[in-house]
Amino acid sequence: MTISEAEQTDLIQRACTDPDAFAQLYLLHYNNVFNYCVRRLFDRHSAEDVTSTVFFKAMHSLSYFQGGATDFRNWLLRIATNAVNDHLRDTKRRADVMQRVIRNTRAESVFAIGTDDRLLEKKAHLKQALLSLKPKYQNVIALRFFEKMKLTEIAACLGKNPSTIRTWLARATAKLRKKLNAAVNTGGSIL
Amino acid sequence: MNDNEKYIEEFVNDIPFDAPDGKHRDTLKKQLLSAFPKHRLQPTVRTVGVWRTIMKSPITKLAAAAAIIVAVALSITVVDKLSPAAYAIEQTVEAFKNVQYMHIVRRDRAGNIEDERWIEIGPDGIQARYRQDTPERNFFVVDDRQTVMVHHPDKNTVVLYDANEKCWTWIYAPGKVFQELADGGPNYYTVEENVHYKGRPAHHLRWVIGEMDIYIDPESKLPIAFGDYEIDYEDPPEGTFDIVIPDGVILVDKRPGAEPTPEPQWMIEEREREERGKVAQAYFEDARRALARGDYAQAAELFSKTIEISPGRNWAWLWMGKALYEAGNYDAAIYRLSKVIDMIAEDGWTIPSYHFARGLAYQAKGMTDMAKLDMEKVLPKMIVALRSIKAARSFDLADDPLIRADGMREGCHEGPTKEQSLAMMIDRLRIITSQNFGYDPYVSAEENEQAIAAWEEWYENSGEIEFTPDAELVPIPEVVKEAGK
Repeated sequence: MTISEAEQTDLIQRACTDPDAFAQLYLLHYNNVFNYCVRRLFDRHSAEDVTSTVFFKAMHSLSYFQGGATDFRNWLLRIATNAVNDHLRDTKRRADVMQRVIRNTRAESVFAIGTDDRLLEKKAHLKQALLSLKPKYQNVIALRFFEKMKLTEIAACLGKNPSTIRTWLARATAKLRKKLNAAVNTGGSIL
Repeated sequence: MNDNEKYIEEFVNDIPFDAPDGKHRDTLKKQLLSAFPKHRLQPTVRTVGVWRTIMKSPITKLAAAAAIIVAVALSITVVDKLSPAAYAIEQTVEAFKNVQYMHIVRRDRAGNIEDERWIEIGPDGIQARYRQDTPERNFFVVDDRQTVMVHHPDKNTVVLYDANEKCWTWIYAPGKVFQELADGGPNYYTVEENVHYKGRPAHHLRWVIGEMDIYIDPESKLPIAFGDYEIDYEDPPEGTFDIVIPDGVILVDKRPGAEPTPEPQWMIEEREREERGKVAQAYFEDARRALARGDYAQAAELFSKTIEISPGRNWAWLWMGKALYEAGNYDAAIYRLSKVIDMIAEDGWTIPSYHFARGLAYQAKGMTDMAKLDMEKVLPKMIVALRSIKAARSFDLADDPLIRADGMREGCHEGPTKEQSLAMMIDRLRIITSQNFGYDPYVSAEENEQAIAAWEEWYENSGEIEFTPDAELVPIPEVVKEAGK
């Protein structure tokens, strides 16, 4: 479903008080939010849980939101970023996520007919490396490389200065590349 | 795009991820619509046509204008009252003064109850009567403030104790817990208002050092979730705190003056374990004194004996690790410290100073990458601790085994002063970051505020770990040390 920016801005305003309008808005953004969450958490069930959290938060806070369609996307991603960080901050879950992620990823290669094992191996390395970074670095990596956002868009989404985002991104990419290189070269755990 | 960005973009380009599931999307839509805030629903009756008809009369226009002014004035008052007031943790402390009962439940992923407790809170804010049902551990307790009944269904045994001698608890004084959080100082906890918890509006309170999430109901200001436990405040069912002895059990009455009854074998073994626990405590205290006076070999040996009897004693593991580190036995130190970090992680806890100790051991061994991982984990807690002596507590305790804690009294002291604790934290930060922002414990608080703010800004913009063993250290004011016995 695609609608114009003006139509979406109107939809956002109506969604504050009209459940049908909210449902349309939800359907418009569900895939984006889920895709963001699954690329941060690498696990479908966790991504679905956090996606639910994001939309409940958005529904309850929608009356506080001011802006148009682009602002709304950033606002939603910000809620999603905080929700994912909260999810990962739980110490027990973080250990479970990493272990389950590694086990699930390796298991996928057994049952996925026609799937490139090399890609699954890469995915496992990416997960381990990304989840070992600080949350703020995970945020900027995900928004830059999965959401394809520009620096200024990431800054607006996270409520930070663009120069801060530039610094974070430089550090994050350097660290991530180092960890990925180490993982690929040793073929094992990098923690 | 620089080389690193190109590398990562190429790396992630072809990685497959799960696609959205239509079933989840549709189910969530239904849940959202059923939870849509009813007070925001748009009224369906339109009155514009009627309004235009009324406004034809000039007298009506004036009256209507006056009505509008009054309505606006009223709506401003109403909006002010409806606008959610900012949340402060003191509101929860206050709210607990009116709490008489707490019902606490922990569930597994399937929603089955793993642990359920009822607590009656006395007028002094402290637990009075108590009930605990923990089927996953075959453990049931009822405390009616005179007698404590412990039922072990797997052993078909009920044991009765005098309530003055035995007590089980979840949080003994819940309101005081929040008072302690409030007293912890800035950044000891964080609050995010107007979030939700499992579909309910809530404020999210995060105890930073303990890595504990607490959700507060915005209306009552009382917690609805504390870690893995969910809480409500309804009155318990009648008979909740009654002591009812099931038929056919083996009854052992250990209350003073009760007729002596033969103990089953498992209780004899448990009592022997308690006796051995006292022996372990003696080893533990001697080990702490040995560590404090620098006798690392003896300290390690005594901590090892403690752990042999009481393997769950986490501080024994930590201090054993430190004794081995100080003795130059880095591999053994890393092993013990890793063991205790994993042990407490299984219970969902993190103690920052344990990671700090292991990080130092890794660095001494030349495993800088591993050392940095530990320090990166603990660095945010150290920054928080610059403004909170409570947050610094585990670090101070790790470095000084003679601080009064864990049951030990003889030869102990109360711990460092706020100034000593802060100076020691600054030293730890200097050693692992190479940064120096000029802190001096003998100058004014305003001057040192700049140094603390400089650390916080550095952390926000950089936060890089760089080990500097020969860093210039802050003099610790009036060091308090007692000789070990």
